[in-house]
Amino acid sequence: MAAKRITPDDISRPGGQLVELDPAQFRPLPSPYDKLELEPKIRCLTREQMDRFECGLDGVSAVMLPRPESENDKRAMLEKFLAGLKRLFNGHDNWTFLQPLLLTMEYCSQCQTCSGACRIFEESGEIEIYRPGYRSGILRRLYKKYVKSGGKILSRLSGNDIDLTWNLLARLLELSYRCTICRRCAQACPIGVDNGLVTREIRKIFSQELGIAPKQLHELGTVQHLRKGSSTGMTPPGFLDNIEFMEDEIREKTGLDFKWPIDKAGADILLVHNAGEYLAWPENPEAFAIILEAAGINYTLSSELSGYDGVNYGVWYDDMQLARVAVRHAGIAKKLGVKKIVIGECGHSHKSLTVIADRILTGDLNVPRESSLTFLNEIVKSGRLRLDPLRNADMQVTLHDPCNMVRLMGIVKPQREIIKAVCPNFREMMPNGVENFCCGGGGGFAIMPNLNFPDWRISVAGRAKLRQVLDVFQDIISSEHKKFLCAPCSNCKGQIRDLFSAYGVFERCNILYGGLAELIVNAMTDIKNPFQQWEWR
Amino acid sequence: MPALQISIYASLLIFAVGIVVKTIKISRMPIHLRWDLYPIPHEKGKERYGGSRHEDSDWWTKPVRSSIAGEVKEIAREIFGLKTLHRYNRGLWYFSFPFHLGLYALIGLIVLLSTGALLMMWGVDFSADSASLYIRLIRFSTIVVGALGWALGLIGSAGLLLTRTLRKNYREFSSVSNYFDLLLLLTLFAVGLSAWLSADLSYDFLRTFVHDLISFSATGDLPMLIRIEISLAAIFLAYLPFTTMTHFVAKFFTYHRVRWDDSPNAPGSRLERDVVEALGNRVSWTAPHIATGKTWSEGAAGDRGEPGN
Repeated sequence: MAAKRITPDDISRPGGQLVELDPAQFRPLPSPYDKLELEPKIRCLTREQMDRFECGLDGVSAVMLPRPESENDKRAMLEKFLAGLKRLFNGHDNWTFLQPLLLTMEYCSQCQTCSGACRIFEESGEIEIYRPGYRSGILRRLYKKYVKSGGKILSRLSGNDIDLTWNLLARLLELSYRCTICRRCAQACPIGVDNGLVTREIRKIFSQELGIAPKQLHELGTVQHLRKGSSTGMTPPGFLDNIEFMEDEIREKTGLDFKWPIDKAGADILLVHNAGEYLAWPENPEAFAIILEAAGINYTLSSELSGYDGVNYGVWYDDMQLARVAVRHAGIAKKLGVKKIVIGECGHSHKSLTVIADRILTGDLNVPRESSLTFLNEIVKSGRLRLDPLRNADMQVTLHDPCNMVRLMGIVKPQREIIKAVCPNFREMMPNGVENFCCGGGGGFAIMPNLNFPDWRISVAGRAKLRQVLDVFQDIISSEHKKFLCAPCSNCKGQIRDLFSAYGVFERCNILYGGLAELIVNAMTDIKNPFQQWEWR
Repeated sequence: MPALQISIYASLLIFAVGIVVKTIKISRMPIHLRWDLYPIPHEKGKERYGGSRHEDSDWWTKPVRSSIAGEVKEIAREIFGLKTLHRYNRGLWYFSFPFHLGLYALIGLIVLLSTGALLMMWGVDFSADSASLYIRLIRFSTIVVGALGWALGLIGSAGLLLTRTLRKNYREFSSVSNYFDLLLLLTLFAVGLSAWLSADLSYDFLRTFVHDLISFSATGDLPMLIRIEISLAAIFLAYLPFTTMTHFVAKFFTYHRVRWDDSPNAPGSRLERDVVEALGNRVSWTAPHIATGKTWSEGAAGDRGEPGN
């Protein structure tokens, strides 16, 4: 069934949802998921949920925006949105991204090249509202009408008029959470227009002016991170308990008995993991500890508030929160007197602290930052670890490139050099490297479990990644062959876990996923038993 | 002086001022946070696969291996081959490529006409009977380049206009100005081609007109089609700075100042001074968690921006 055609004018219109989602219209998946009955359902919201929350875009609610109680409430929010819109295009208020944003607003030639690069649009069966240009087209019309002088008259004359209504506002908010900000669209743009940035800037208006953001990103995310210590809710004493637990686990698994360095002033390196690893995939920080211990690295972890959680959710929705988290991390490194910060296997931590915050951290806060992929590669190449790749020979391995590390930071080779050094059976999925497909959990999606949003995230946002994984192993897709998807990023792993779980990929195809450090430890000859457990978690 | 000449002077002035003002406005925008997008062609030795200095351990201690040649090569591919469009939107490239090639050829035509006009000013015999091989070569090149320009431009603009009109994907996202721009150019190309074929195969009329422009002397009578052609060119030149067609200016910034801008914030650098200045801006966003009224530096130092943080 062809998708119903929706035009930019429709976003303002009153009434029910703009788009009905039907899995039958999504791009079919390869074997063994080429049957519609294996397709996970996108749950419909209940009547009560629909009454409480705005869901007029596509029947999905990522943000859980409560329906306003009165017309006055609506008017007040519209006024605030308009004020935020104007701030977005002011050099003092939005110095952080004004230049790239204005270039995007003014110079898009509507060639639609970005649409072909966007996996969400393509995999959804080309649903118009998911087109990158649809979202930015709405913002462009608003900008031209409400921010530029003479806009109201010129908008009418140009045939691109738009009315800022409550329906538009509520739908635009949701629409800004239908893009993972992977920036594949920007890479494909012949002019250099960046529709991924537009997504983030729309989110910013809502967060920085109206105080609206998904709870998991703001209240339980950056706010909890700064106040409690971690977006997982883990406090400093909780972190220390976890470390003790992991020390015991390493002892049980490998016989190695050593203490993890915590708050060691004067260490060479501050290692910062995504705290989600400690709770969901402890084998990853454990693998780091084993490698660094074996290589004799002088490093430390931090137990200070926020210092043990490398995430920075501000990167997805709010410049101030982004800056606060980055400054906190840098301040901890400065206090410890380390020579550099090494960022664990977490893509957005990489990009936010290394690249984006580079123009926030000045003076002695500008502590050098390095990727753990680069760092691990140096250790592997140095010969300080005794490695036998044959210990990983019982599985075929492929690699997922996290957008934040690869397309947005240019870290392409180190992870490949490591895998090739420790896994004899490596195969690349296509496309890969800087042209990779997002896992579908980017832009904060992987940590947003609201209502039926996870269903959408799996069926639509994660579809391209699932297709790639199935394609790369298609010749050995049956469950008799062990296959491993290496995803050196916590958020990507979270998404892949949910994606594989929904489709039963481990049970049906025997494909497991995990981090990079675990593969190294699994190849270490000093560790007697296999470190990598072949079981679903 | 005839109105036609005055209109060209005026349009050239509007074009030049418009482009300069636009360029200055974009370049004076405040410094922004880094927003790299790979591959970056100046990453010497790594540009082929999209790698960066972040692949090297302790990269900040190592000399920057930057390649201007890499950037020049990439820009040339982009300008003369529309590389990105060729790769990601081949269907459109089949029209956009001849369209752009046509425009480049017409720039070449202007250069060749101006060369001829200057030589005429200096008393060189530029007639078809000239004994000089160079003169004959310039005359011949002018004809070929001009013919290519009009024809390719016409094919390209017609194809782009049809694509935008017939394909829903394009139509629903196109503005009136998108159509107007293409229609204006299509008309210019069509008139230019007709004028050349019907009245000015050797470009002697146009060359003389350019000569009179350069020498500030009143031009003689011109055939009607050439008058229309010149008028359209004047309208196009004056209109261009106010359209998205100035993406040739924007593209410098979107590439060099955004996606390829990976300059690290080195301690003590000019960049660091600019960052410090930007962080001194007062925050006027008003959400409860924002430190409204404080500077960005002060706001970033707190946990939610409340007093005392």
